[in-house]
Amino acid sequence: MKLTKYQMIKVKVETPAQTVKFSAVTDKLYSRVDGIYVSMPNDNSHFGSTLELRIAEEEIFPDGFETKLLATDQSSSPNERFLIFENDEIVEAAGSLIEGRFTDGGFTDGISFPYTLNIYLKLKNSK
Amino acid sequence: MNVRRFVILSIKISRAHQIVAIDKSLSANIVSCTGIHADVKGHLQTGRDIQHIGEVSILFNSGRVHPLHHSVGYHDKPLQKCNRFMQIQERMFSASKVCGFYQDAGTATDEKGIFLPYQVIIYLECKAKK
Repeated sequence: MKLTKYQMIKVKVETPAQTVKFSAVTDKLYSRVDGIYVSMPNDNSHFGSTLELRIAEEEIFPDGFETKLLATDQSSSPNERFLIFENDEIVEAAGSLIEGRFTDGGFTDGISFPYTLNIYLKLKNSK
Repeated sequence: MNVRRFVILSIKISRAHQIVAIDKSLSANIVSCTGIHADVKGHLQTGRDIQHIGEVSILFNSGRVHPLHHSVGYHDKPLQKCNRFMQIQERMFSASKVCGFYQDAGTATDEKGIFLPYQVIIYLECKAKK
């Protein structure tokens, strides 16, 4: 049974302080988004970086939402890193449009450009 | 059905011991607030963590309830083991105000003791009617 899937969205960031708009589609075989997590190659890229995100035309994170709130350090196991939506909060998947705008925080010490931001979606189907 | 909504309050601190008042109207569809998180945005050249860079006091429902008065810290690394909002459980009156203050502690200094201006972001994790 197709109950859970982890979908990854990649966003390429070319220069410091760049704003990148992106769009994607959730896997149509899964009905809802259960959680979200973000990673970058260098943890320091999270300094000041923000992610505005909409799924199925619903605001998930507003303009100015910092990516560090969507990530953890490496001491957490991957399954502990997701921001999880509660049962009464339905974020529709099933082929929903994802629209995002990522802005790099402009911190450059030790950071190589370009780099790739990964956004992970935990998708679920109800049993 | 409810949806999660984050409300962001941005505060700029330009001098030591500055106090900034908070006064913001919430949209009418917000029904409750379940978490608060306050943190410094970006990187400061402090060269160290600061346990107490300031303190935040938040009142809901136009000043009728006072769920949080707490210190704010600065971490020299952007990520932590987990990013947890401080959990609260407050019902919100329709179109009520969030008020309170942020007070700088005067500890945001570089290695020479010079004060570093910074920005604090206060996140309210809320539920809203869809």
